[in-house]
Amino acid sequence: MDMILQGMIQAFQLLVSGDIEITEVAMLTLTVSGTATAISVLFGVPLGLWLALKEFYGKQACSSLVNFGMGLPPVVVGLIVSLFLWRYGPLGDFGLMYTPVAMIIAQAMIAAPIVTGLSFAAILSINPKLRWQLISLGATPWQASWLLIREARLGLMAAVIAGFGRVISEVGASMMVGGNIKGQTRVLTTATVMEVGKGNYDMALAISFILLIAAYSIVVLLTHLQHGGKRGR
Amino acid sequence: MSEYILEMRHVTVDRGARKNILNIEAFGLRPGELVAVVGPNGAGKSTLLQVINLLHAYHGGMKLFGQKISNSNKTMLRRRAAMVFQDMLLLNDTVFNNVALALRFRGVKEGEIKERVYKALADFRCDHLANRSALLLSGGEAQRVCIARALVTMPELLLLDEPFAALDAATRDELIEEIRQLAGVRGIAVVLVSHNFADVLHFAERALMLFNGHIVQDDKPEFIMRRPANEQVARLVGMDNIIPCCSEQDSQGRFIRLANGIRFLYHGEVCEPISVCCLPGDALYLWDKRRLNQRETWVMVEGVVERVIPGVGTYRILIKLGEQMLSARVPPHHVTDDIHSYSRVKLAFNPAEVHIV
Repeated sequence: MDMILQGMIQAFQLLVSGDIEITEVAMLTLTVSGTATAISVLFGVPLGLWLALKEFYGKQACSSLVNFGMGLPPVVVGLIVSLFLWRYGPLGDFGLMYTPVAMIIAQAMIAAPIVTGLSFAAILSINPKLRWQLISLGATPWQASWLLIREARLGLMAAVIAGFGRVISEVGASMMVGGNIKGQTRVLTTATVMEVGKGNYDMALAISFILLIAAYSIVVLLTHLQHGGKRGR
Repeated sequence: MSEYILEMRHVTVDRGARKNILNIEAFGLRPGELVAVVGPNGAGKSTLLQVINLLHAYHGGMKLFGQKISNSNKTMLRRRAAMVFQDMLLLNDTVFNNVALALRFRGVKEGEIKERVYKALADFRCDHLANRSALLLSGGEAQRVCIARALVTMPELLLLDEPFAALDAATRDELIEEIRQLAGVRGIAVVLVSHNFADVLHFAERALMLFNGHIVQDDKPEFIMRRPANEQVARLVGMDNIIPCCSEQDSQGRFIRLANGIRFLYHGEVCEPISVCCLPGDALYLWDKRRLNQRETWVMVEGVVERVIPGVGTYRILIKLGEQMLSARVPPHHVTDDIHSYSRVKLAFNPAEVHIV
């Protein structure tokens, strides 16, 4: 109990003192996870929309694949990305291994199935005839799709929150493709693991609290956006 | 220039493994025509409307507003029509924005949108709801808004897919009448899908009876009500008495023998084989001597009153006749104190008012 209390106090001190190293790590964490979430939304929402609206052979197989992807172990994603980005891998020439870009790629791969799966569910929760109604009112397919996305905004924001929550808290992939290099690829989760490895439990707890505060702040912001657009009951 | 705004020839629709869920040999709709489509669940009524609104894939030939579908921009054709679904499909937005939607799709200027939206809402007496959230409307209000939204674009063709099904009778009658009047004034052709034949009689000048994707009868509603094409249609339009029967030919002519033992000479047309005799309840009269003496061809039957059901305009009397139950509709002033449950009554009908299918 003392250790937890000590960790909380240390976290508070680190935040108040504006420790440069911790600030940089926290900023990198938010940048990497935020960018990865944005990329996953860019791919996941249209894919979820397409899956929900399009009838095609093998749709069920696609849905199961997406649902399976929602539980994809981060270390497996990290391993696959490493194999591609490794010096002798197919994308080795780009020199992305152990860079924030590699971490963004890995995290986007983890978040994309979550955003896709939950977007798919959000669109499915809308009356399926609503798209027909919009089309029959004279909407072009693009106009109808945009209005459906707007109508499913609560569910879609939940997808974004879930995707962000997953990537900001993952450690396996970031460690494998980022390498936890000080000042370059160290994020809050990998820093916590490192401090635990060194036996600095107080510091590990302090970083964890900062991670929780950062994650909570972003989720509060997203939740505000989610409900801010809601009218009526 | 074609006289039809919609022409369908050999139009079929398949859904997955189910073939021909819709199979329309020929159907044409004239400008301003009010047509009802009636059929049981799964007959293909909604699919027909979706095909007309170009929402569903189909095989065969179709022309909408004189243009072949295959050569035309579907969105542009759809914009000359409007469809209202049974579900109240309103967006989570204000009533005004919901009604304005169709105009915004068409790129109408905001100033004009405001004027037209308020006019459409006023036509259906819901302009006071303009700033209310569409999700807070009652069922009747929401359906009025949906209809106003469909009509705000001044369509040439209005497709109504059972939009009144969830409404109470008074609201339904009111809305049907309002749409009928507006369609008449603006010359809008309307295709109404309904389960309720009373709505059809109230609204349409032509009815299509749809069974298993096929049009089995296309005629005036009042004609279909008295001369249904088959037993299924007779049941669907609510024919009061559908009695199993057979025909017998002798030297005097063709006789119809009903399952309850009644036999009468029939001069009408019959398409063999026959299965049932359709006898409208208002073609059964309470017998009186004068009537029978004057009209010797009338058929007299006698039975026991099972129940008298009061109603506005007509009372319904259920009469047990052997194993069969007959239903007669008589004016209230014909129902005297002598007619009550378990009393014996004599009824008469004119064979000319009977329809054999």
